[in-house]
Amino acid sequence: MKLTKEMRMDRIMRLKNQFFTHPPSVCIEGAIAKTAIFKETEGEVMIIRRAKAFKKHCEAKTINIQEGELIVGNAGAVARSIHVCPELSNNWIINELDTMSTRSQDPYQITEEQKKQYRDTIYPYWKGKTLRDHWNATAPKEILDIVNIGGVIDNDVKLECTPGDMVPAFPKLILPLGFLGLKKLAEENLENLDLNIIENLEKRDFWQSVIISSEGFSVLCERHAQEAKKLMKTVDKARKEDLQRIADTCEFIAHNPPKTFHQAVQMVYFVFVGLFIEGNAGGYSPGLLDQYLMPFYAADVESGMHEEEALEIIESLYVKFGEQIWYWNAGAAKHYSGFCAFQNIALGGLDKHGNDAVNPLSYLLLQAAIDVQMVQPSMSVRLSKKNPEEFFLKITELIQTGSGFPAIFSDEVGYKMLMKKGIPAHIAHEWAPIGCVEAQLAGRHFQWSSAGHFNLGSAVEFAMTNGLHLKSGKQVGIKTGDPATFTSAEEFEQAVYKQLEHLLKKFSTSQNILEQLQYSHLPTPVAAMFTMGCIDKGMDLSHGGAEFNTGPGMNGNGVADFVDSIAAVRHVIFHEKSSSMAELAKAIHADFKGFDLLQHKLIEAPKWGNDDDRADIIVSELSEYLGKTIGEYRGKLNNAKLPALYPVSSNVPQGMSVAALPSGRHAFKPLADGCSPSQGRDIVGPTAILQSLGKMPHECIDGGTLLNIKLTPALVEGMEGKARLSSFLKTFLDLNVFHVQFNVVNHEILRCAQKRPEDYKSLLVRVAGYSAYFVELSTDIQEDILSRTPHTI
Amino acid sequence: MKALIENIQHFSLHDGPGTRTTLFFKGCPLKCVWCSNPTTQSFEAELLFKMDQCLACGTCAAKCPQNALDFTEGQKPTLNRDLCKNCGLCVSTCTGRALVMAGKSYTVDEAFKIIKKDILFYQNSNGGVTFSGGEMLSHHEFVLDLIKRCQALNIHTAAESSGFAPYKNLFAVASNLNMLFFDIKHIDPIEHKKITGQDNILILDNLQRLVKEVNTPIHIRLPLIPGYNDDAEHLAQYGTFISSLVGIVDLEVLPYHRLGSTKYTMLGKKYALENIKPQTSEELKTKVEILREHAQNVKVLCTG
Repeated sequence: MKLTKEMRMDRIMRLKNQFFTHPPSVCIEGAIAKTAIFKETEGEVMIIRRAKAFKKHCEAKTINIQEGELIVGNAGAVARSIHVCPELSNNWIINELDTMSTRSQDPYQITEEQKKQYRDTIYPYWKGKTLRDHWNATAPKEILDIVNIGGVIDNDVKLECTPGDMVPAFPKLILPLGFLGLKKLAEENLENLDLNIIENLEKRDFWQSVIISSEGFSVLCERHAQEAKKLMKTVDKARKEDLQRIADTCEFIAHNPPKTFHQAVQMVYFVFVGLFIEGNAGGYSPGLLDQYLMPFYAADVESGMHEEEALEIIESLYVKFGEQIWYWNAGAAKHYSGFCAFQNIALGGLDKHGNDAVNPLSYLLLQAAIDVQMVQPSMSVRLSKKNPEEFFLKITELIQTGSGFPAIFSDEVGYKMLMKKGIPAHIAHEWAPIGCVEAQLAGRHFQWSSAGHFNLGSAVEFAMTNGLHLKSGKQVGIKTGDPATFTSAEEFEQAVYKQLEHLLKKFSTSQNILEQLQYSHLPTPVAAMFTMGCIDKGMDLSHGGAEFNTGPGMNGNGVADFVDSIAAVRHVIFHEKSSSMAELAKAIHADFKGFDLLQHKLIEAPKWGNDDDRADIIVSELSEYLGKTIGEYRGKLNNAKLPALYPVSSNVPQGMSVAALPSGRHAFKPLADGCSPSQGRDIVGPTAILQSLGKMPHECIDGGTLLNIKLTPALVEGMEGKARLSSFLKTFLDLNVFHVQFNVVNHEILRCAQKRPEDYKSLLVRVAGYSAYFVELSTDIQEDILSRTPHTI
Repeated sequence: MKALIENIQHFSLHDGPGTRTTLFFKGCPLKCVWCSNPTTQSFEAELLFKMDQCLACGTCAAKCPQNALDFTEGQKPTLNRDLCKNCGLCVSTCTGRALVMAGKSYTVDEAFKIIKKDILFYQNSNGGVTFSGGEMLSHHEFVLDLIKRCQALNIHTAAESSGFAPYKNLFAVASNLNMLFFDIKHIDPIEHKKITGQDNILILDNLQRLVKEVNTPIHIRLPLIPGYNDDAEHLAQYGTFISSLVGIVDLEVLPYHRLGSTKYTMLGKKYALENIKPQTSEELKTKVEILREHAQNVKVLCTG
C-alpha cells in the first residue's frame, strides 16, 4: 500500500508522543564498560584504551528498538538517557547523585541501584583520573581564583566534555567507505609500517584505535539487526515489515557503505550515536545534509521511492536526534540549558561554482522540521540571494511555526569567515554552522568553537570598582584607579579595556591549560576517524590530525551591556554632564537604589540596536579590539584564537555575577544575549536592529556572532507574513549580518505555559543559538525570554 | 521648513505595500469621535502622562515652572492640564518614563535622513514611505518636499488623508504620490459634522475632482463605527456613492477597534466611545455585504 501523508504523520506523532514519555535519565552502562576495560588495560596507551572502551560498550550495551521506529539506536540504554563518561564527569556526579533528579534546570532521573553502583564501583576507580582532577592539580592559583568566582570566565565546556564541535566527513569519507572501509584504510596504513621511525609508534596506536572503533560500529549495527529480527516474532504484520527493513538496513551497513537513502540516513545516525558514546559533548553536527544525502535520494526516487517515504525516514531521524542529550552538572546546565545537543543541520547555500545549491531534499528537510517541531536537530540555512524565492518562502513557513528554526546564516559571510581562518577559497563553500553559530569546513576541520565564556560586563564592572567583584567582594580585576578620578570618557574606556585585556589573558591561559590537558589525556579516536586528514596522517584531532586546524574560539557575553555602558558614560557623564563619575560609582555600588533619576538618564542614553551611531560605533571599536587582541593569542596547535560573540544561554548565569552597570541594568540580571540589543532597549524595531548589526564586521568575528529577534505572530502570519519575512531576510543578507533567528511567540502564551507547564510540553522557544522546550527551562531563563522586546505594530 | 511629527514608525505593516516607514504628522482639522490616534489631533506638542508607569517620586512636580503637577508624598502626582504649557521640562526628570511628549519638530532633512535609513528594506519588499497623521495635508509643503526627494531615490510613497484641505494642496501632493488612501467617514454632511466636527462638502468635492484629475491609484477607506456610520441605510448610500466614482482602486473597510482608548487617558481626555463594542465578525460580514451590493463597480476589502 502506498504511504499517505496521514499514515506518515500518524507514525511521527506516535514517535513524538513516545519521546515525551521519556524523562531524561541516567545510563551508566558505558561507565561500567569503560571502568572494566580501563582496569584490564592498565599500561596500554590511552587512545587504544579509549577505543577498546568504545567497542566494549557497543558489544555490551542494551539495544533498544522502540515501537514505531524506523531509525534506531541510542548512546545510552534508552531514549533520552545521558551516557555518563566518568573520565569527564566523575567529580560532579558523585556530589550530585542525590540532587540531579530534582534540580531546577535539566534534571535527570536516576535509580538508587545506579547511585549505589556509581558510588561503589565507578567513582573510586576514576577518582584522581579525570580532566577536572588534572586541572585542579595543574592550573595556577591565579587562574583558579578567577575561574572559581564563577561567571567572570567560565571554561567547564572543555573541562568536562570531549571537544564535540564537528561535522563528520560524510560525503568524502564515511558514506563512500562505510565503517569497514575506514577500518581497511587504517589497516593499509599499518601494513609495512617502519617502527624504526619514532613518530610511527604514535601513528600505529592511532590506526589501531581506528580499527577497534570501526569494529565497534560494525558490532553496534549488527546487534540492532539481531534485535529487530528478535522483535519480529512478537508483532503484527505491518510492524514486522518495518522491523525487516530495520534489520536489513543495519545488517547491510554493518559491513558495507550504504546504497539506499534509508541506509545512508541510518548510517549518519549511528555515527552520532558513536560520537556520543565516545564523549559527552555538544555540537556534533550533521552539516550539509541536503547535499550529501542527495545522491542516495535521487537514486531511490529513480527506482520508485515516493516523497512521503523519504519524509518518513527523515522525520524518524529528527525524533532520534532529539533523544541524544549533552549532559551537564547543575551549575553549567544554566549555561547550556534545555537538554540540547546542538546538532546543527545546514541547508541550501551555494555550490563550488558559486551557484544555487538548493535541491529537492533541502525542501523535504525543511518540511520535516515543520512537521516534527522537535528541540533537535538544530535547523539552519545557508542563505544567499541566489537561492530561489521558493526556498525563502519555505524558510518563512518554518519560521511561522514559532519553533525558533531555522537559524538563518549569510552564506557569503560564512564563506568569508572561513577564508579569514585560512581555508582556501575553492573549498570554503563547504562551510557549515556547527553548534550554535560557528562556521567550520564540514568534515575537514578541527576547531574548539566553544571553549567557555568571558564576561564583557565584568570588564565594565571592574573599571567602575577598581577591580573589585562586588558580588563576592574579591579583587578579581586589576587596579585601574578610582573611577571618581576619571576626567574624560577616554580615561574610563581605557580602564574598561585594561580590565578586558586582563580577563582575556586569563581566559586564554585557562584555555591553553585545557588544550594541554585534552592533548595529554583525552584522545578521541572516533571523532578523529570521521575527520579528513586524521587517518592519512595517523594522528588524533587534538594533535593536529585534521586537514585544517583553527581556534580555539574565545566567546564573550554582554556585547550590548558593554556598548550601552560606554555610550551612557559618554553621553550622560561627559556630554550632557548631568552626573559625575563619582555619583555613577556610588549608584553602581547601590544598584541604583536612591539613584532613580541617574538610572533613568542612563537608560535614556543611546543604546545598541537602534541604528544610532553614537552607540553603534562602540561595537566597531570593541570588534576591532577583540579581533586584534584575541587574534594575537596562540593555542596548542599554534593557531590564532578566534573572537566569538554568542551566549548559548550563559548570558543568564554570567549576568548573575555582574553588578549594576552604567547602561542602567540592575545587578545580577541577565546580560544581553549574543550580539542582540539589551532586553527591552531596542525601541525602534527590527529594521533598526538589523541596521545596527550590519555595522559589525561579522566576518572578522570568525568564532561566530548571534542575533535573536523576537516577533509576535501578527507580524508573520499568512502569505503577507511570508513575503514580509522573505524581504526582511534579503535585507539581512544585503547588510552582511552573519546570523539571525526569530522567536515568534507572544507573552500571553508564554505566561500560560509558566502557569500550566503540563499543557505546553512541546512549546519550543528560541533561547540563543538554539531552541528549547520552554517549560523545561528554569524560571529565570523563562523570565529572560519574556523580557526580550516583542516587536509588534 | 519644519513640521511637528508625533511618531516615525519603522517596519510598518499597513498603509501600503511591503515594509514601510510611516510618518504620523501632528494636527488634524477633523475631530472624529472614535479617533484612534488622538495624540495626533492637536497641532502642538502635548504632554502624555502614562499613569501606570509613574513611580510617584515627585521629581516632576519640583521641576514644573507652572506648578501644574501637584504631588503628595507617596502618591502619584496629578496633572492640571489648565496650567500645563506643554513645555516638556518634566519629561527629562521622570524616572519611570511616565511623562513623555507627543510631537517632535523635524526639518525636511532630518525626516528624510530617517526615511532613508530603511531604503534596503523598501527595495527588497517593494515598500516605501507612508505619510499619515493627523492630517498630513496640514503640512503639505513639507510632505511634497519629502515626496520629491523620495522620487529622486525611487522610494515608493503613499499617504493617508481625510481630504479636508484646499484642493490645490491635495492635488499637489496626490498627483506626486504612488498611492493615496482617502478616508470617507460619512456620506451625509450633517451626520459627518456631528461625528467629525466638520461637514463633508469639501471632502466629497475634492474626491470627485481628484479622481478625474490625477492618475494616482486612490483607495477609499471607511472606518466602520458601530452606531455612527454602520447602519444599513448609510452603507447603501455609501456604496452607491463610491460606485459612482470612476477610477477607484478599492474600498477598504476598517473595523472599529479600541486600541487608541488608552491614549485618551494619557492626554487627560475622556474617550467618548467607552461603551461601544467592536462588531462581531458576523456583523461585519453582513455590513460588508451591503456595501458590496451597492458598490458593484468597486472591490470591497475588509481585514477584520
